[in-house]
Amino acid sequence: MQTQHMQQQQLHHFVFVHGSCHGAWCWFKLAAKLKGDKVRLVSEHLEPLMSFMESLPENEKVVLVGHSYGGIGTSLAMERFPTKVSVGIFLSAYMPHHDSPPAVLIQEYFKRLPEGFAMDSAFTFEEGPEHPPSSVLFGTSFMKEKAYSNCQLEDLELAMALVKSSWLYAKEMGGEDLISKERYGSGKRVFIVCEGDNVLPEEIQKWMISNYEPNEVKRIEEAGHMAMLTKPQQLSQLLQEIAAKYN
Amino acid sequence: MMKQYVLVHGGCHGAWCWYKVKPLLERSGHRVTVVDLTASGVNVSRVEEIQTLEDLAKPLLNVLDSFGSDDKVILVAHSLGGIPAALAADMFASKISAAVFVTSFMPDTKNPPSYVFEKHVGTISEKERMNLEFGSYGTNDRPLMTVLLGPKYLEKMYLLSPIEDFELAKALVRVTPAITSNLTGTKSLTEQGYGSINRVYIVCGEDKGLSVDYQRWIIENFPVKEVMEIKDADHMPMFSKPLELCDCLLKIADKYA
Repeated sequence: MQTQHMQQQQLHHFVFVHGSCHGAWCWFKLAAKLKGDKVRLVSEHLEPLMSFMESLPENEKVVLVGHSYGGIGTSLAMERFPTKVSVGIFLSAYMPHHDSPPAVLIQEYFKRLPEGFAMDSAFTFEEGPEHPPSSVLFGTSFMKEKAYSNCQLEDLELAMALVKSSWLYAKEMGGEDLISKERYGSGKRVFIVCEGDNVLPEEIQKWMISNYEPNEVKRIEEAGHMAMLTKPQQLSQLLQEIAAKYN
Repeated sequence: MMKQYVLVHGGCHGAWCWYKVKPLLERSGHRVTVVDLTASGVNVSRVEEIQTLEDLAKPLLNVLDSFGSDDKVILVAHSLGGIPAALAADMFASKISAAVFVTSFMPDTKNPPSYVFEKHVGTISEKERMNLEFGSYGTNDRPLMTVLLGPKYLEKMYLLSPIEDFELAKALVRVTPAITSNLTGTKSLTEQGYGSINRVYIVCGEDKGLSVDYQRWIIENFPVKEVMEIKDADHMPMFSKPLELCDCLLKIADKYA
């Protein structure tokens, strides 16, 4: 006798927020794997993210996934639209505490970095040298040896053709009322630790987790900083599991 | 011997589209330069700044200009990139050991550079036209057009390519200027310049964006030194058949460079 097991696939709506110097393109492997679900890739600056969240119908919820600097946008979107986010996933991302402005995290990050960490990356300092940088452009060596250290050569090539300078908004992120306990703080958060990350090192990821404990911590081994490129299969499975749990 | 390739993307695309081919060629010991044409890829210009074919080709012209007078390159153009590449070849003929047109619009030396593209646009069905987004800029005296490949049109072009690359393209395509005679002017490219270089055409056998019939007509219109074919390639061989494309490009370098 044969039995057939039919698995009902629950469909989720994912919204991906990329990190510095990158664009929506960096999620291309994930977008291919999550074909059944609704996937929205949001391009730089926060305005497209906020407009998109605004446009969502009243009872629709999304899973927000922020990578690296994109964690800041994720926290701000969770603040503005707490009822529209089922869970905020921080993929080796800045995850600010609701008690402090997001800028504090940016400052802390740059304080903890050893000398010469950024290698040939270019920064501008519009507020002066004592303040965190205003913009960043990852350098070639930084890309090869740190950001893309775990990546296939092809993916590095792709990134080299596409990276561009991006703002860090350190000043704008200094506002005291940008995030709150009642709104962002009331949301569900999952942090995905990326082992081997040379841009947001594991110690800093762990520090952010201990500073502001999420609902859950997951982990991807040997991911490097660009887990969406190095481990798309694993990441997509993890995202779907998390989405199903916090639905 | 080490050769220098310069790769030129097609309409709405950018230097990024060569991300698989570039490392393959470099692994074989050659140097590869990929270019973003004006308002393409991460080039910061806006499409409205493109008033002439030369404006569009400027980044490519700069690259060719930067090579020494004794240096020769293999210029490889894909799709709509064939037209700005042909202009570049006309202006820097002595620096081109071979120009390779990969399922590309290849101008002749009799008609305006826009001729082979404008003729093709005339064959696009009403239904297919709906999968393209048209825009206009320029002046009343000299109207110019833009075009953006919609997802359904892209899907046809990427039919045999990995789905990841189709997703990549959807995230990255940008508005391109339509290469009309208003943009290029009516003067043809020269016999002494562009007409004098070695040209090779690579036909993509399963191309649903630019049909094999049309590719063959382009060749017939302005015969080339050699025709190669990648049988199972869709319109994007750099994604659907990168190894085979690289193989063709290496053979061409051996023979002509």
